[in-house]
Amino acid sequence: MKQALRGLLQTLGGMKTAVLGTVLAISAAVLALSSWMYVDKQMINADIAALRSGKDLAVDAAEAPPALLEARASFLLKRSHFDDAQQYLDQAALRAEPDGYARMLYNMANSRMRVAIRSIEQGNFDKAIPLVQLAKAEYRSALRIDPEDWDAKHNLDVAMRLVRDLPQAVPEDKDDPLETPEKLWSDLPGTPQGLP
Amino acid sequence: MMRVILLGLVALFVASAPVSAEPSLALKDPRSFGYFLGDTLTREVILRVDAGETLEMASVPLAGPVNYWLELNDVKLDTESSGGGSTTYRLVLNYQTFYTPLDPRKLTIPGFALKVAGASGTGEVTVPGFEFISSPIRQLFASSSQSSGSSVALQPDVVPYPLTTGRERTAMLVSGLIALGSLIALAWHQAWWPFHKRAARPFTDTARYLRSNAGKLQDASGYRTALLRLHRAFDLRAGRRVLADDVDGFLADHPEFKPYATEVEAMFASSRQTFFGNNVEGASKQLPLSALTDLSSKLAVAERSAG
Repeated sequence: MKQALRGLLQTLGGMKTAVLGTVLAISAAVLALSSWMYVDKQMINADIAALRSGKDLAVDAAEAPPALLEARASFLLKRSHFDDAQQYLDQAALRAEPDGYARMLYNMANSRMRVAIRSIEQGNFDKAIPLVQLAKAEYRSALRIDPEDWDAKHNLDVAMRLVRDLPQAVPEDKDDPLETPEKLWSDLPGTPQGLP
Repeated sequence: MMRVILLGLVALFVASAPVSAEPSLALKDPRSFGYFLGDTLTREVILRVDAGETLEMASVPLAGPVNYWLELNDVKLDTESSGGGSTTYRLVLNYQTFYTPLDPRKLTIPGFALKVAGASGTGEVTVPGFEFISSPIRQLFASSSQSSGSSVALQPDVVPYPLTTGRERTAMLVSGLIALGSLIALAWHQAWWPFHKRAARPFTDTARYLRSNAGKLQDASGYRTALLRLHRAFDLRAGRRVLADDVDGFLADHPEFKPYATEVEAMFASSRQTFFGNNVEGASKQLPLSALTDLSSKLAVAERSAG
């Protein structure tokens, strides 16, 4: 019994080098991997910070990580270049987290709305209406992903009323079809109840 | 009298006869008030059909827009068979309203019909519509203190924020500490630098010395040096001088070296031949330098395994 115990202890003692070596190898691998990921994220964050501070940093839509797509789109949308930003949204639809994509949709819709409001102030309704319609669709898409996005709800409400406030430019029934149509004609055609 | 009994029997028979039950429908609807645009409503329809009847899948609503302000985002259907051959269908419908009311307004999610196919043809079960009150989220008119432009004030853009690196930093710290700790432990265990000076590993030291100086120790004086180093290791290990006669006692005190008893005795024999018989050639023929190096390596392993 004692002999067996001693033998076991000796075997364990002999395995110390192997155990320590394995622990060292695994922890070194984790250290290398986490350091690499950390440096990678820091580089992305530096680019995001540059875009936020207004530096026109080119971003490859096909290769860039989703966070950088969002930052680049935000940079362009702040300057109302929503046609240029579209490619980043298309990529984000494929690769980004749903929440990130919803934020990009919201920013895109905001950008369109700002241009639309400016156009309305200048009396250019023909330009404004399609922009508002696109913005509405994008707010809706954002809300589909995150139904609790109150900023998107607010701005969708603004967009809905903006168009409703311009009766000469918007089909009136578009937003109010729940109201029963006025009965212009009686149910019995043979007995008119008044002048048409 | 006979007629009355007969009637009674007929009545009894009718009452106890299995009646083909209608499919039973239960609804679990959400609250019917307090909704804003973009809110979701989940309706649950629980339909139980008898044995031999099945729900026609084509009559289950499909996800997609219901009308211009209402969307059906998600449809889930669970089927479970319960006792007596009846089947329970649990239909979960997730709607989202995009209606923008100017005042609190009653809206209706339209009902639909579910078709149940049985032996006697197809029947319909109508799921009624659901009414709820939707409210505006903003006031109708901009307050007079605001300028005309502020009625279309938008909520600001979402600013892109940087990626969080907390997890990577924690992983770096923890794995770095573990790597450092295991490296120190390994260096201590193997008596590497800076632990090479410590006395607890004399055979490891000797084995390293013999391996790294193999070229310099080829001649007679080198052979003597090698033997002296080994003797010194034995002395350090034992804590006193170990002579040829003390080997048995030494092995009894340090059982980890017992497997190499014959080699140790051979080493002491060739040591006697070298130092007392002054016959280095004979000794090194019996036990060459490479054998000494091998022995020191084996003893070093035994030494480490012991603790």
